[in-house]
Amino acid sequence: MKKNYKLFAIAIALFCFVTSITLAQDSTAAKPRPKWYIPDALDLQYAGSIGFLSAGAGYDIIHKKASIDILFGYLPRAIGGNDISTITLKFTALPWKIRAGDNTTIYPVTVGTFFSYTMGEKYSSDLPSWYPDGYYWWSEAVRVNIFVGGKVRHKFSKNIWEAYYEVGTNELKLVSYVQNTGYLTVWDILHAGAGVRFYLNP
Amino acid sequence: MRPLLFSFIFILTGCSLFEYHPYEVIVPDDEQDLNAKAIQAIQATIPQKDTLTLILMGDTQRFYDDVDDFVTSANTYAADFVVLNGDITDFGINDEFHWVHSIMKKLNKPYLAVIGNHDVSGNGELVFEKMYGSLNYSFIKNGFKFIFLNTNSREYRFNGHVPDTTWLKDQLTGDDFSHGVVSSHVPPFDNDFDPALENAYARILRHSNKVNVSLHGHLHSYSNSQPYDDGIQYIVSTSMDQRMYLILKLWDDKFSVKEVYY
Repeated sequence: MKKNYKLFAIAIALFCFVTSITLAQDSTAAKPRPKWYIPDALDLQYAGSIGFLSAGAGYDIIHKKASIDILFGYLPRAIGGNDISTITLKFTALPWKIRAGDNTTIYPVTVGTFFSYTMGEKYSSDLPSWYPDGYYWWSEAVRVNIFVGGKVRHKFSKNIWEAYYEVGTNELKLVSYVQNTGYLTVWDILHAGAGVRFYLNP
Repeated sequence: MRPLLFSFIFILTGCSLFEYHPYEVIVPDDEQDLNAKAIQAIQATIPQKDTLTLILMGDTQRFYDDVDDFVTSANTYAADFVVLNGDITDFGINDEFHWVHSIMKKLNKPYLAVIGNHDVSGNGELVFEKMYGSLNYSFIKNGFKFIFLNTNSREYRFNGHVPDTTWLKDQLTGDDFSHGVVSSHVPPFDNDFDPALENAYARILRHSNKVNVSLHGHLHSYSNSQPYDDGIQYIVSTSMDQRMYLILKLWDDKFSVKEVYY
């Protein structure tokens, strides 16, 4: 589990390093179009069912009407009772854009889905061999989430930052709710996350 | 800026909506050590008397509406305490433990829980330990020793240590009790119980000369039988979606079982 902690530290360090380099760049110099694999943004997220903190890379797609983010999340034992590391692939649609002044854009509603993979042998993705077929129908490692949220984009003198939040649920909580609408309320199954995105080539 | 930042962090961490992971092991103080607290209540409130009345139920997993109705029904019945025979949760996720306890705490009598195979999923075992306590535990009341045992062998890849038969034998040795009652999730005659330990389990109960009932869940249907023809009755409660629970009365070396439908 030490290894996962290191991996997270590296992800955070990378986030800070790339951010500082980009901030130090002379924005007046002509910039070549970045390679496709260079992310448009770096992400830092709090909670959201994928870790205490998550760091990752974001790509704008479909003419900036949606984004794909890949995040590495970490939950330390001191906070979550066990060291847990996840990798998340997130798709966010930005269907509604409101301009609020020259430098600020508000996305009042975002909708999306993400798949999280919890690392480690303890969380099986397939049913281990010593179980009969179909013993458990779900995977411990993979969670499927849906969410709605909101986002604000602000352009500072040299760079662009975004702040966002998400409220959603996963497939296991959803099935628990659907079958127990008498006792459980929607609020019982929701979970939230919030984060910032920093644009590398504004 | 700084007070703003601190208040932002305060709101974030104070708000229960923020979840770090479905398998996080985060249990509020008032939901910790529930079995120890229940045993304390049992010792403090149940007077010395000949007959103890237990409510047997289990497999609450993903049947929240039915469990809620169970509590309403069980509260009208004068029993001493309730035994939840494992599979508290379906997926072993932190929230489910909380949901089930938020219903069960409305019972007007103490309840004790034993771990089920579904509760071991993810970090469920850690949540169970924090919330309810040890996986194997026991207490003595009015001459009866109640023994709760982790029998979810398949979850531990049939490693030969689950159930802990050495511990069970120790528990059934001694002269500070007259009768033993053993409770666990998976019954010994089920495929999910370590086949290498099945006979040992039955033998330990038989040789103690103090046990006449073994209480279980897991099968999702009621059964009441003597699979080993040794005078020891194996009683299996149903899952809560069957909307049935059992009333077990214990006195001397006798017992009676009654089915209650709700």
